[in-house]
Amino acid sequence: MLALQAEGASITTAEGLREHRIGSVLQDAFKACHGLQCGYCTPGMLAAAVGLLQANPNPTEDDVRQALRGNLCRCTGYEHILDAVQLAAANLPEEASA
Amino acid sequence: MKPETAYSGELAEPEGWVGKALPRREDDRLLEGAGRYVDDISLSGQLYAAFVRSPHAHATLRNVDCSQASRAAGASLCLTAEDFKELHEVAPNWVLPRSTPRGRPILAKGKVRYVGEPVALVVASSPALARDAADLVEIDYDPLPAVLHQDDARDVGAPLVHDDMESNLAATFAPGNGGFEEAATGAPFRTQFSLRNQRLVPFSIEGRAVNADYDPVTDRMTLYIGHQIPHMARRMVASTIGFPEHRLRVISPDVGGGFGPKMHVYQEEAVCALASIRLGRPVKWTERRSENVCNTTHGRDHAMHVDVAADLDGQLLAMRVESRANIGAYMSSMGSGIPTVNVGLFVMGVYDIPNVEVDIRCFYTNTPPVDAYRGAGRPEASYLIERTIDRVALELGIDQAEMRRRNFLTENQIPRRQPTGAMIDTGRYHHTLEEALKRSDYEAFRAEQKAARQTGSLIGIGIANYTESCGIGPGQVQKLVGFDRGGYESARVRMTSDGGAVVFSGSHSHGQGHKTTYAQIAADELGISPDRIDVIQGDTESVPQGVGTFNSRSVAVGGSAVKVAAGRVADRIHRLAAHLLQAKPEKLERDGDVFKAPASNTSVTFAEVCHAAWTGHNVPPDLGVGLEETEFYHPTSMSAPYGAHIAQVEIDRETGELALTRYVAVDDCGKVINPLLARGQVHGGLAQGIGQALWEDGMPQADGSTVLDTPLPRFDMLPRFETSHTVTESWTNPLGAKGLGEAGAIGAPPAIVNAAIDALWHLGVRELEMPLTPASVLDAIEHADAGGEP
Repeated sequence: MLALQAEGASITTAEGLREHRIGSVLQDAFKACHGLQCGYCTPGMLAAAVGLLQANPNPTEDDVRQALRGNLCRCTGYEHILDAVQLAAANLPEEASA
Repeated sequence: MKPETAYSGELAEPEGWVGKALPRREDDRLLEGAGRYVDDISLSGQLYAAFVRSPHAHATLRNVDCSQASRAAGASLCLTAEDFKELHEVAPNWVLPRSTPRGRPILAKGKVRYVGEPVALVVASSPALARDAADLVEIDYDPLPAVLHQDDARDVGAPLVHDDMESNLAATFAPGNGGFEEAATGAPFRTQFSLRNQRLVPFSIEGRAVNADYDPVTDRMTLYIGHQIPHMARRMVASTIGFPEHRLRVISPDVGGGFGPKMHVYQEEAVCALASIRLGRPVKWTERRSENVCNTTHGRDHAMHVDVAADLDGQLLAMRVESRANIGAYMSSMGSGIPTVNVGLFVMGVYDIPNVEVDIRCFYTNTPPVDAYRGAGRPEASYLIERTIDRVALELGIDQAEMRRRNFLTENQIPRRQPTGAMIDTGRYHHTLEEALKRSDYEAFRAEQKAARQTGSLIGIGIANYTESCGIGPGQVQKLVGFDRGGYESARVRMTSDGGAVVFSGSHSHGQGHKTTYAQIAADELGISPDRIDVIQGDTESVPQGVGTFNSRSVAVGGSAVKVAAGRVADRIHRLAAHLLQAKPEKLERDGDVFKAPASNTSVTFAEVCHAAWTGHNVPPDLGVGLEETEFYHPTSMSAPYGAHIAQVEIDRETGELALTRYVAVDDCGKVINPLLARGQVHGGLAQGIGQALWEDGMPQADGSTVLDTPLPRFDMLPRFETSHTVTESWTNPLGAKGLGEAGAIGAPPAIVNAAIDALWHLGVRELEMPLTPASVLDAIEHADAGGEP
């Protein structure tokens, strides 16, 4: 999205995800599943995955593929990112799916 | 001597740190937005560069006028070729014997030779102002006829890319043992066909970037470049611009993907360095995507023809390969070696073929220079031989797996130097293939395929038994082929006085995870946890020297250097501990972090020994003060990893759309240091190999579409991969490792195209060309000779 579209919204970047309920779980899952290599696309992948898990706490593989298809990665072949998002969904505390 | 080799489809539980699936130690930073890439580095007094590039593939350069650009808001410098007394040139680093090198001028002079070639540089106080000023540079071009394809470039009367040459022929290479005609004449079976390995754009997500910081006070320069081989970058920039290497420091911070193109020096690094010298201020340039696709090197681009003879059982008798390679407008760093040596040596793959002739010719064209891209020559060779095996099998009515079994080199033929010159250190090809066949349910698929044909649905299975060559070295071999680069790798292992260790390595990770794998290797030697070991790379001031990361060499060569250096340090620690306890080293026992002398019932901790080494208060003369070792590990030979990849596809008869339904990869890279990271390497290679097979094309098309119009693999375009290993350790290095980073990109294209042809052969389809777009597949089906129905 463009910066103008975010007027009035609060913005969390990769630097703030450690304090974010879903973001922090995703960070741990990306590490556990080797969901990043060079790391350059990683903040975007995390942001898209946070958006997905906020809207859909129990995504299917296909849901993850569709939600993240706008983010290019040239290192991982995406499979470990898929694993990471699904692991994060499984690890999210109960209230996340409430 | 060959060490004991292990074989299994699953990896054994490791005894030490090597072999453990540790998560990466570099990840926390990258996950928290604290990655530091070149563009993140801004210095005091920072200025920004923009380049003016040729919009023509070929044109005479009449006049370049900087007068308006120099006066633009915020602009501080505008440079053209006329501003340099001597025209600096980025020279190739690998110049094949009998080739005609033409390096890249740092700014075009007299003529432009491809779209995107830099003509002028503008430096300004912000990136936007630099771009605005660049638009004010006025250039008069007289367009010339251009030549884009190698088969046009070789024609008599073709436009000459370099006027001082008599033709566009840049290099030739003809390995093999000859005897094709004798062996092929009268052979029971003979066939020939052509195939194309299309041009690809490597497309790292981070483009190239440089921040050149010349300090007029100290007369020193620091170059921040996201690079795969920082020490070589220092040497190449120094020689290009005539700056002494000892006052030039290259820092390569985090690198956002490499895949080959980030191991060269280009015009931009040289020009920004020269601009920084003129201005006495740092000059930064960050590549835009459109610049990445037209000035950063491309890969592949071969037009090939194979002529092959066999007996009626499918036993190959002789093969002749002709290839014409398009190397672009200039000879890039490794541009003469990749399409020749790296292809020609490996066209026999894993097979025993008595007579082989190879003739490779490289041509200059009006396109961006072509150089190493993941696999770098071996994908082209592997694609050729694996397609050939299938072609012969299908024409003779032999199952493609059986065809391979009949032609494999056997274990008692290995180690072996193939008639083309390829050195094969290990090869248990039968085992790896059988493992892949089992995992892909090959026999069941064949039954399913038979049934599917009754209903008209089109499914196919394809095999690729690739081999390649990794861990480049020793340097003596590189010298023979004109590759002016070392074949060693450095490692320095330094203990700290609290019992920790720092590993300095001349390799450089651009995503591979050396901070983790090298720590695992050193941890086993030192007997401490990887948590107590840091790994430093990418700074020519702190790392002694290095060759760098390419050719899947970081583990086999760089990792071996770490192992050897750490082993020597461990030996010194042990001997110093014995000295401190007044015991004989062989009587000393180690229990975790404690050394014990059972005779005297005394002990000293690991950290205390390290502390003692650095105080030097009580060290024996033969050990001396300090605790560090440097190893320039120089392998005696390269290794030849291999694997069996099997793809299954389904093709829609009405639309030509191809679905990749399964992909099984069994790779034998020897010792696996970290299975989790190894899997990541295979996945990434597969994604790029599948991209080549199905979607990507880096050559501008007749309809005006460009590489930016062709899809890159996205999240929803790839299946899950079924990966595993067989383990046959290499005897060429102390780790027993071979190399893995390029395997996926080498195996996937032939596996997938073979699967597609397998699905369509009964319709009479004989050939398909990459990328397998729906239109091209549909076209092949529609034009198939129905008489091909068996």
